[in-house]
Amino acid sequence: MRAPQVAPTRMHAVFAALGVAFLAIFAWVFFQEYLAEWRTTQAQFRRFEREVKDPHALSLAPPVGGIRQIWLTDLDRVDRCTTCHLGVDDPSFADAPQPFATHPGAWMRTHPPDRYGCTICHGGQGEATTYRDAAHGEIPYWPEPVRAGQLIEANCGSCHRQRVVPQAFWLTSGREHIARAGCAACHDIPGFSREEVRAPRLESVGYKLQPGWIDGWLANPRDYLAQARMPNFRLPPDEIAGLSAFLAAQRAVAPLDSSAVNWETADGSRGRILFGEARCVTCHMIDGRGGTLGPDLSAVGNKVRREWLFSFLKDPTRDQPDTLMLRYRFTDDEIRDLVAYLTEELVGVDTGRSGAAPDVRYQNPALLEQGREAFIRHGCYGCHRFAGMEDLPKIGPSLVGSGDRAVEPEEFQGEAVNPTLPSYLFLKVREPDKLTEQSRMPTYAFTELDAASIVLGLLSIRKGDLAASRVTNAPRPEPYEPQGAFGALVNRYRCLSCHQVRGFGGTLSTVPLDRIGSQLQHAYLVSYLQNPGAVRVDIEERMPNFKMTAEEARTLAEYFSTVFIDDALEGPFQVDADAARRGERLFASLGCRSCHIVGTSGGYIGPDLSDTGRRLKPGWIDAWLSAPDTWKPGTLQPDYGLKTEEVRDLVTYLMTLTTASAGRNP
Amino acid sequence: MTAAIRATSALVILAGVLIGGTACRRARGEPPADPVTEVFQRHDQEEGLTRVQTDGKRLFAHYCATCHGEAGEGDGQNAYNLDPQPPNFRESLKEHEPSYWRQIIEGGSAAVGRSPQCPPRGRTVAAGDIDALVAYLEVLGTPRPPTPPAPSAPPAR
Repeated sequence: MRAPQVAPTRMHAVFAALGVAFLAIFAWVFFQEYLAEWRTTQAQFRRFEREVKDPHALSLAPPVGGIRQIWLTDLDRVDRCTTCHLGVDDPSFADAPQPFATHPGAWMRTHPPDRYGCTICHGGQGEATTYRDAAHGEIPYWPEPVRAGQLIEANCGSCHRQRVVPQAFWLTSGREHIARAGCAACHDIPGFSREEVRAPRLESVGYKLQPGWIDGWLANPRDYLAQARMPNFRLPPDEIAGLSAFLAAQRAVAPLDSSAVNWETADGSRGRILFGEARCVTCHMIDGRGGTLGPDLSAVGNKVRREWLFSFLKDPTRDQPDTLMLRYRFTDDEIRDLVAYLTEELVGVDTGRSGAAPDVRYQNPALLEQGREAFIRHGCYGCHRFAGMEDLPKIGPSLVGSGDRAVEPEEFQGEAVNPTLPSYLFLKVREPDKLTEQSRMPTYAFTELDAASIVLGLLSIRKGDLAASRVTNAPRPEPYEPQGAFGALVNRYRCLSCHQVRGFGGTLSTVPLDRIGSQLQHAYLVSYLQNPGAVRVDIEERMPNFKMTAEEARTLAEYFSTVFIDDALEGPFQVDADAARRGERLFASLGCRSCHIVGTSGGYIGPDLSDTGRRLKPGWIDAWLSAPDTWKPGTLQPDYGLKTEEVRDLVTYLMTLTTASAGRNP
Repeated sequence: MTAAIRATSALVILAGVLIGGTACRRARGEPPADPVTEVFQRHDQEEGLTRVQTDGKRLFAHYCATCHGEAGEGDGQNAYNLDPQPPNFRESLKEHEPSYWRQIIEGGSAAVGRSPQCPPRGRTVAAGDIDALVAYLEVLGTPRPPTPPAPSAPPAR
C-alpha cells in the first residue's frame, strides 16, 4: 500500500497551522462571550444588590441572569436595556449609580415599560448589549443616539405632537418659539401652519410709515425695538433702497379722511388716560410692560404717521382685514387725543432719520422693480400676506422629518463641535449664515436657551410614522364664524382674538365662551360688556373697555344666554336659609377667604365673590366646585372632594352674596 | 514550513490590526463639544437643581408662590391677606419630615391640624408632580451653599 507522493509535509504544516488558528479564533470568541460586558455588569449588580438589600428582600428578589429584553410587537422593536439597567423598576436602588439606578420620577407609571420599552423615549440601539453599541451619548453622525438630559424631550415630541406637552418644558418652549418666530412662513413644518404667522399686510404701507423709518427697520429691526419680532435679513444697502422704495409705493387703500381733525386741540394727556381706561396694555407693551398680542408701542411715535393711525384706530380692518385689533367705539376727539399721546409721547431715541424730506424714490420704476424682486427673493410674502403673491411657494426647505436628517462632515464648515444633528441645528438656528454662505434665512435674536429648545422642537419631527395608537395630536378646531348681528359684533370687537369657541380662537383669555351663558347671569353680562370691571384683583390682562353701546351689549348677552348654554349646568335652584347658613360655615372652615374677597376682606388669587348672587348661575358654581380641574386643567381652585350636599350648601350661601350698594359694579 | 510561517504571520498581523484598531478607536481624545447639551448643562448648573427638582420648582411657582413667595420665604403677594401668614420655608421646613410636607400638599394644611388656608392638591395634582414638589421643598428647606465655580472640562459622558 503506498499513497501517491503529494508533498505530505507541506500540506500537514498548512493544515496544522490552520487548525491552530481556528482553535485560537474559536477560543477567542468563547472567551469574549464569557467576558461580555453585560455579564460583568450583572455580576457587579449581584454584588451591589447584596449591599443594598437585607437578606429577606434579597431572597424575594428575582434572580438576575442572561439577556433580558422587552419586545414591542406592534413596532417590532426589541429593547435589551434592562439586561444592564437592572434596578430601573426597583425603588431600593434610588441612590444607586448607573446603570443600576431606579428610574426617576413617575415615568414608569405613566409609560409602563411593557408598552413603551426604553428606546421610544430614550433613543439608542435597543438590541445592543454593550454600552458603546447601544449608542449612549451624542455620537458623531449617528442618527439614533441615547438622548441624555433635556435632549430626551425631543423624543417625547415624536409621539406627543400637540404644541404644549406639560411634562416636557423645553420641548414646549421650543415649539412655542417656532410658532412665534413664524418659521412656518418659509418652511413646511408638521404641526405648524403658515396661517398662524401674522405680520401686517403691506399693500397700503406707503400711507402708514414716516419717511425714513423703514430703512432703519430693514437694516436691523432691533435698532427700533429690542424685542422686534421681525428678524434681521442682513440686507445690503442697495436691497434696502429697493425695498424701501417698493414699500413706499404701496398705496392700495387710502386711510380714512382726517382732514377735519384739528390737531392743534389734541390733548395727549387725555389720550394717555384713555389708553389706560381702554386697557390697551392687555395686548400692547410699552417700555417692557404689557401684553404681546399686538405690536410693542414703546416708540410708535417714530414709526407711523398720525393720519394713518387716526384711520387705523377708527377702523383697523380697513387695510388690515385679518388684524387681531378690535374696533373700539371711540369718538373722533378721543381718537385724536389717543393719536396725540401715541405719536408725541411714545418716541424712542432719535435715529437721525425722522423728519427727512418726503420720500420720492418710489417714483423710480427701476428701483421699484428691484425692490419687488428683493421682496420676493427674501420671501417677505411668507409673513406679510400680499395681494398677487398668495400662490408663491415657501422659500425655505421643508422640515418634514427634520429629526431624521443626516448631517455631512462638510456641512459643519470646520466648526469645532461634535458633528451631530443637534449641533448642526443649533448652529443653523443661532447663526444661519455661518454654515451656509449667502443663506437667505434671517438672523433671529434667539438666546442660547431659545435656540437649544428650538432644536428639541425640530428633533421631535420624525420621518418614520408611528402607529396612530401611539401618537397624540391636538384636535384641530373648526373655524367659528358666527353670522348676523351677533357675528358682526364678535367680528367688530374681535372676541376670538382672546376667547375660544369650540377650541377656535385665541388663548389670552382663560374663559372659553362655549358655556358662558350657563355660567354668568344675563343682566351681569349686559353690564359687564359695557364696563368690564375687574373680577380678579391681581390680573393684568383684562378685557378691554370696548365703549360698546347698551344695545350692542344686549345683543351679545342675548346670544350668549340663549346659544352658549350647557344644559347640564341648568337646573332648578332653591333658596334655603338653613343651607345658606351651613354653606357659610363651610366657606369659613375651608379657608375660601384666603383666595377670595367677600365684602371688604379676602385674598387676591380667585375672583371677588362679593356679588356672586348677581353674577354667577348656581348650576355652574355647583359644577365648578364639584370638579374644578375638569373645567380648567391646572386651575388653582382646589378640589376639596366635597359631598353633593356640601356643594349645594356652598352654592346656596354664595348665591346670597350681593354687594350692598346697587350701583356698584363688581 | 515557509507556508505555515506565512499563514501564521498573516493571522498574527490580522489580529494585530483588529486589536490595534480597537485600541486606537478607544485612545482618541475627548470628543468636541455638544453645544445643545452644554447650553442645558450650563442652565442646570446655574439653577443647581435636578430634573425632578426643576419640575417641582415650576409647580411651586404655579401652585404655591402666590402665597409662599417665589423663594418660599412666605412673602408671596397674597401672603398679606392671610392670617396666620405663611411661614418662611428656609426656617420652618427643617422642623418636619418630608412626609409631613406631603401630607399638607395632598390634604391641605387643615389635614395636619393647622389653619385651613393652604388648600389640598391631592385630588388634582398627579402623584408624580407631588413627588417633584416635595423634592423642590427639600431644596428650599436646605440653606444653599455658595455656588461652586463652573468646572472647566465638560463632564465625562
